Amino acid sequence: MKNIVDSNQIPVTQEHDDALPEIVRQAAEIGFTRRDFLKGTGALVVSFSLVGTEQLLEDSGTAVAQSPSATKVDSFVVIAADGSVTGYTGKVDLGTGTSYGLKMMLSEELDVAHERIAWVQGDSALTPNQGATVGSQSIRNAGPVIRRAGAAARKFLVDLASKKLNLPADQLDVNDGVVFAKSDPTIKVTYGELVGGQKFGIDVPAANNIVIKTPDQFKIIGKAIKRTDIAQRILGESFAHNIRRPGMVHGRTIKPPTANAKVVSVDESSVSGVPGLIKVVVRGDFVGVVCEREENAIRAAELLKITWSDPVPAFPEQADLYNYMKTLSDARQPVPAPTTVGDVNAGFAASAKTYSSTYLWPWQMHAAFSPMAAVADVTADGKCTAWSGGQNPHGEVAHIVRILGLKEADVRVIWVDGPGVYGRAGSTDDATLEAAILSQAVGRPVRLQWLRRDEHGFEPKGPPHVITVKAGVDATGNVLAWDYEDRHFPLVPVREPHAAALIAPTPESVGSTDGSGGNGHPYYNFPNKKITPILLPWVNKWVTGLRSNHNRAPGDPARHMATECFMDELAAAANVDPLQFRLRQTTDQRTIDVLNAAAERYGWQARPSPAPGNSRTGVVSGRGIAFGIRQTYVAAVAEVEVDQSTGVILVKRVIIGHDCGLMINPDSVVQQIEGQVIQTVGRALMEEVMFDQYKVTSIDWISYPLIKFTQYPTVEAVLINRPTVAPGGVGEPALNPVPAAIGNAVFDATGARLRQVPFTPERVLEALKNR
Amino acid sequence: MSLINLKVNGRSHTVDVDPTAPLLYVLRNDLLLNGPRFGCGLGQCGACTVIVEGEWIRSCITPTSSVENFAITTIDGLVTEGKLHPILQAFVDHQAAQCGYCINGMVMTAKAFIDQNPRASETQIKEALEGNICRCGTHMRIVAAARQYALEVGA
Ligand code: FES
Ligand code: FES
Repeated sequence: MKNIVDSNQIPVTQEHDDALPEIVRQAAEIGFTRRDFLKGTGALVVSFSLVGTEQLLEDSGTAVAQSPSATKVDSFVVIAADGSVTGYTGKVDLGTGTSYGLKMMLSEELDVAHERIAWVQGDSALTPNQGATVGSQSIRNAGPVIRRAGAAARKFLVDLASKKLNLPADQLDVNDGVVFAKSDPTIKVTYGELVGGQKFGIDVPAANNIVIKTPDQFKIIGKAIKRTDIAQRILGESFAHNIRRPGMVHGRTIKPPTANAKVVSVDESSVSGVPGLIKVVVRGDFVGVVCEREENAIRAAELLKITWSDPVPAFPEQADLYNYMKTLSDARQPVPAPTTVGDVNAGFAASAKTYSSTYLWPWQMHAAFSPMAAVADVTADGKCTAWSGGQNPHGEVAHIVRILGLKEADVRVIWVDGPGVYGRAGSTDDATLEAAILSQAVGRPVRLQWLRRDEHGFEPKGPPHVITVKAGVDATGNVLAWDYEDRHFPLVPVREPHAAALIAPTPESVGSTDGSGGNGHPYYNFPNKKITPILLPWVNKWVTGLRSNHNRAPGDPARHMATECFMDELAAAANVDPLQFRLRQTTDQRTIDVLNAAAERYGWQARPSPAPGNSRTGVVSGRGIAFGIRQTYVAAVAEVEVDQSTGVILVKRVIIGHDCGLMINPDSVVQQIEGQVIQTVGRALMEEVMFDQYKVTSIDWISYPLIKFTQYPTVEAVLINRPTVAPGGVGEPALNPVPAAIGNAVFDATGARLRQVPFTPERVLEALKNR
Repeated sequence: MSLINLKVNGRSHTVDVDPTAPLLYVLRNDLLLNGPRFGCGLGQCGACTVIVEGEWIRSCITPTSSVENFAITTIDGLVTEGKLHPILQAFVDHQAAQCGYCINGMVMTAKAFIDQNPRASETQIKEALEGNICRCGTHMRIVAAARQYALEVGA
């Protein structure tokens, strides 16, 4: 079952005004504890609509207890005596709209209008720990649990109503929290009357133990719901950056100037003249300053004289990086066997021709628009409350416990809106622990924000790849053998905040490769293939500016760039239209559908690349296509203009064909696609972390530029909804085919192949020379 | 430290700060405004943008004393009794925010530009926003929202 929705024609069936900014739903929960709720009544009574954030902050008791269990219905759904409903989740909405999707899923199963459900997310004391918000997994993994919790709560309530109304459960139905007799809707009882103030006391059932709704029963899932948090985010009221506590002071931290440098001595007299200086804090190689005023904390961080150990080269020369990567071998013991299908050697032996290309992907950063910021309040009795805008509030607790020496039950991390982070804060946001260290040192609440040069210089970064693909083809050009080798540094290694690694590092591991979607596996029906991920050692670098970490869709954009550019090379070698070349080598319907959807919307004319008749000088246009998968199926068609005198690429238009299975909220899906495509056009064209042997040298928006307003393409999405297929993620997959689609479009326009990201003007000119 | 008189969102305030302190921190920490925010502190991103006498400025690199007695507007001043200024409403209408952290700069830069250039074209708006950065890739919606405002102002 599928149906196609054009992004230009999404029916917005539910719309409501943006809530007034001062009624801040998420931040409003700050300061409540479950214990507070439970006081007296034995029930969780929530009442926030009239209470402003500031007031709640004032009322807030400090830290509390362990997170509620992720296996209890009560941890996800609470119905108060007045019938008001609150949903709880450990997953946080990073500006991607996932909270709307999750709330819609609860609304659907519980049969309570989503507008009436208050939402509490990412508070280590109030919400169950559902893991970090990473990998486009909120809807995919947390969503089903929330649906089952909602369905179990509904069943529990209908059973209660059945006794109360003296009618069999199957003769009852529910509408917006009111259980009524199908035969006579005036015979009814509300959720509030049935359970208000009481606990359910039941477990979240296993999937085979509860009936959830089928697509034909959906009332809300699949409808386009507009976000109501836009105004508050624009006005900034809900950001962690704007948390203010009584007596709050300002901290800044100072990062080592060269990789792995150690503190030799700190000359505190160098900052004694800074007004309002409260303290210089030194723990191991962690150095921070705290001042009454923010601008003075920044000044103190600039002025503080620290003697660091002599610089020692830690990185290869940048110009040498890819060669260096080719000399390394897999760090794992034993080295896992490659994934194989058929017999790749026999496939090559039977091939009419063989081809090979190598693709290079650089270090890239998440480049969060705001440096990480947090507020922490550590009191003299050893209790810590911290406000974080990261991706893993529950995860921050353990770091604070370890480095501050506090008890877990005394540490509470409350997630508040933060900037988009795209994986940067998946393991740690860095700022939360640092604010807590400084707060503990001065005994006052501390607000800390990293400086821009530190965010650029020390955020954990997505590692480079060297990917070599060889293919043997038959007489028609179809692939008989596919040999794919992906060399990269660890994709998921940073597990502790920067300060923890500077103060008391835990033993290093070799890190891991990432088992996600693409992995270079062609989804095409090649009879023989071998896929070899090689996890290169990148040890002793966990405190440096090249901390290797997951970046949005870890590894996948690089892998797809290699696979899909190489497919384009094979199509051109066979003189076959690149869309047809793909279609004739796959039987997978979802793959076929997204490719066709994007191509049709674009108005794709079947012909081989390069485009016939394009001049070899001046500005020329071309189109390119590529496919990608990360649970969700995506095809991209890019249209580019290339100025052959300057080497500048302008991406004019990108069409995305998108199939994420069951679509929860098409509005969110479209927004996510637009954002990913525009971000990734920048990653493909201009993003590369620069470094020397001692440090990262991309330390601001000049040395690491992002895509600008005169450079972004028009993005169009064609959404395929498959209500019977479990939802895939939508926060990462759409970026995967974009770099390849651009590279292939450049070939179509000019006949020049690009195999190294970013596709800078210099590289384009070089490729034009070599065509 | 010295006493400086600031006129912000139609109200006068006297603050006692170092005259060279960047305006951003005074707006945020002395006047407790949430709208302008720190993105780079280098004048490179737009997060801190406010409007002074009709011109947008980057408050992170503006000494507080240099705007003494000038009319300063921050985005916080674009909400009156719960009602959003038309440019804010345009951003809400177009759902022109993902994380929203950059949008202060977008709104304030676009407002200053469009108020001076009513009916600004899409190309002009894009050029006016060239010094603003958005990491979430919200560009299409930002321009659409600014364009809506330009059409309203020019109507
Ligand atoms: S914070 Fe002022 S321009 Fe970036
Ligand atoms: S909306 Fe997140 S940086 Fe622009």
